[in-house]
Amino acid sequence: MKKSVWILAVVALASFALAQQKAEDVIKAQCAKAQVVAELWHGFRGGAPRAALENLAVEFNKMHEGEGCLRPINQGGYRDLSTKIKAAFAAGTLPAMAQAFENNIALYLEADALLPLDGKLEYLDQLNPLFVNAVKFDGHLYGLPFNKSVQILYFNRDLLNKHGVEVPRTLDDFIAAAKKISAAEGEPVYWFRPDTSTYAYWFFNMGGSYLHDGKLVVNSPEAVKALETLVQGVQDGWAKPITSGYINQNFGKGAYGFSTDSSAGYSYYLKAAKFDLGIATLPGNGEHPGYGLVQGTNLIVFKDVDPAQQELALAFLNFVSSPKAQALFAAATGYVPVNLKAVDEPELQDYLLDNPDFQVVIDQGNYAVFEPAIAEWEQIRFDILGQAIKEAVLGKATPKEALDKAQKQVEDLLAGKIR
Amino acid sequence: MSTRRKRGSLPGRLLIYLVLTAGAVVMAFPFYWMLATSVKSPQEAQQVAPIWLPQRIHPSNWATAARLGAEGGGRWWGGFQPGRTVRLHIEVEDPAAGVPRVRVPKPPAVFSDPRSESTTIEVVPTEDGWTIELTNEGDQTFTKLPLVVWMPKEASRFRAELPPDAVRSQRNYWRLEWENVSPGVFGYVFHNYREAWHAAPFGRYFYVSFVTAGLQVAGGLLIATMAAFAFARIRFPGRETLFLLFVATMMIPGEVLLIPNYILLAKLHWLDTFYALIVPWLASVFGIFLLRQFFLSLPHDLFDAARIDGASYWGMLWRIAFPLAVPGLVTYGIFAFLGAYNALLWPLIVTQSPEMRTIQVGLQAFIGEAGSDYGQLMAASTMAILPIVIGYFFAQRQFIQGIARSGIK
Repeated sequence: MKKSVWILAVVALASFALAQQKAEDVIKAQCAKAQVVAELWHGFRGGAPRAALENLAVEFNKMHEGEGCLRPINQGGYRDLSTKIKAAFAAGTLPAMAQAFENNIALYLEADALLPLDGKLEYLDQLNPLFVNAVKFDGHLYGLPFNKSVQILYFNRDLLNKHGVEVPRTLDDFIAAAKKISAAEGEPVYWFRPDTSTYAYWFFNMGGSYLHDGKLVVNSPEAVKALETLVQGVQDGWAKPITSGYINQNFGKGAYGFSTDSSAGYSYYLKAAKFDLGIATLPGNGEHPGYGLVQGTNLIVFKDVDPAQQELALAFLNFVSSPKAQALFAAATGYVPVNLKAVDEPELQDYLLDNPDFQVVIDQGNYAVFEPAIAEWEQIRFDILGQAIKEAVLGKATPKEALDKAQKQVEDLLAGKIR
Repeated sequence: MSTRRKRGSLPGRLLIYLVLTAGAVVMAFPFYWMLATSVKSPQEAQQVAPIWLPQRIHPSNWATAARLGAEGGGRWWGGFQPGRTVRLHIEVEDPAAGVPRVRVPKPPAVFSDPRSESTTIEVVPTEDGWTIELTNEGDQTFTKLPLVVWMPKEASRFRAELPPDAVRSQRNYWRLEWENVSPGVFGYVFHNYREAWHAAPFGRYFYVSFVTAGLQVAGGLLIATMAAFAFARIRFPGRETLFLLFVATMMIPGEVLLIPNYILLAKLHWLDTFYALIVPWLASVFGIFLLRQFFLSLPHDLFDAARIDGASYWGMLWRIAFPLAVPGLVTYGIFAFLGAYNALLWPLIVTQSPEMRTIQVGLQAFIGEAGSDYGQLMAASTMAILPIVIGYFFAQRQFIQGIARSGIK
């Protein structure tokens, strides 16, 4: 008995030892020899995005052998990453590059910590102009849009076919379709997470805007209408709030028809769905697809680091924004290719052959909207607006009350009265 | 014996055992769920209807896994060696529906992939379906052979020899995915364990975690014992005020100190070293408080007697207080060890090279931004918990007493 356990253990260890070399180890070896090492701090904890970034770094380092080496270093999730950057900024141990949301960029700019990228990006004219605009501050470019996901419409094709419903193109069709199927199934089929992202879809497509004459307004009439639509949907039985876990983790608990969710979840949706999962551009006003909220980070270069590292960082920016690298990155991760020419590359064409639905993500990228890029936005989106939405959806306050309260909190926060 | 009589009648005892068994089942359930999930495919792990017995622990699949593994490499751990051909048979009800499309998927964002490029694929018709023949024409050995097959829906029912890890509906096709069609028995059952082990350098993580936790416990015990003894048994001016100040620091949440501590460590050039992981945690106010209360509960007479015999404070500490306080020390030691072993934020912030990261940071690799790979996460969690479980069996008595004594968890 004991012997067999030992044999098992030895076999197990031997097989582990035979492992193929990991990208992380390859990069370590590459950097050990290099004279200049530029670090890229990122928030990809694991999975395909991290693997893809590391594989791209390996390729970049091969091309720059003898000159330098780029080393991606994971710093936990995005919130951990920004904590660490703040600490590193105070301690003077900043890396050459990092991932940053637009609101992070606004914050780092308050400390004048970023290198302007004007005139330094080789592929600038090929990049999605909506994404590029979001990283322009006072007319200067401070980031390269990198891993961008966009909201899309997910739907259960089997269920739509069963009820003879077409994929909706407009908001009205969407609500009508959800109502029709929900009535037939006897339960709500539009599933949503009561958070700022879902809300943003309804808000922006009802003509909402967060900024009015430079002032942040979260209780505009459009805002109240958007939230009322969701709350009404719950009361009328066509919308179901999902309060625990991701939507795809709840498949199987009742009839799923639609959700408006980030394209970053596509691979997880696919893994969880046994039904024919379809994706489409968001229902809009009829003339063109609806606007989808863009999320995801940009790559930034810090100002006060060794110029040799900065040079290497800029070379990496040009490498990852090339059509080929973007094609590979998009195919691997499901992020929107930020280079519009990526779709012509054989790698992405090949991927589209196996996953024709991915074209939806590329198309939706042209109808993208952003949340305000102010330093306090992260706190507002999660702790103030997010809370208000949850309260309204769960019936603890009317949409108007909840949003008015949120507006007051936003004003207090921006005036420095609360933290 | 008298105690036996007191336990009461048979039905009463049965009831007690029933209740205890039910309690044990409830407590053990999450552990079972972790183990079961650790051998699930991603699709199984995400189903809402619970899957009690994952495909990978059905013995009927093991024989197929062994055969396919032997074709590609070895019976136990599979693989895909040069010149070998792996044959996977899929029965279908209506073969006239069309030939399935077959592909070996590539890893994410690689410029070239030797595995899919050197594998030739042939789909051979048989009496009741199709045999997919995959041949390694290159000169490299691969540990896994993933596969994707698109089966026309008109083919109606189908049954693959080795159950696919995921079945999805994609327009007119069923899309079948295997993470490895040449797994071997162990490679099949322990797929998630192997993947998790390779996803991060867990050997090194274990080493760092154990060194960090071990030294924190040893150093922490030494400092806490001395400080606690001073607070409990040595009279000096301002003792109470100083102690109050110490205890007051427990009110400050650790997150507040994160950035100042980080800056301090950066100035000392300690970032990304064992010093950063260990030194800031050596002096524990909780430990000092706990041990001080313990020392206070020891009878005064012992120390008076020692003093009459001419013992110094030092002698009193190590010869009298220390041996009598072993239960308290064990309690603190267990808390310190678990705290160090489970710490996440601090190690994440003060380290950055893979060589200095701890096991808990390693577990983060399986949590994605829009979902998690639960199978691998649970496999890695099982590996991370294993040392604690083994340690628990060795020190069961102290564990239970230690937790019971402090009254908190």
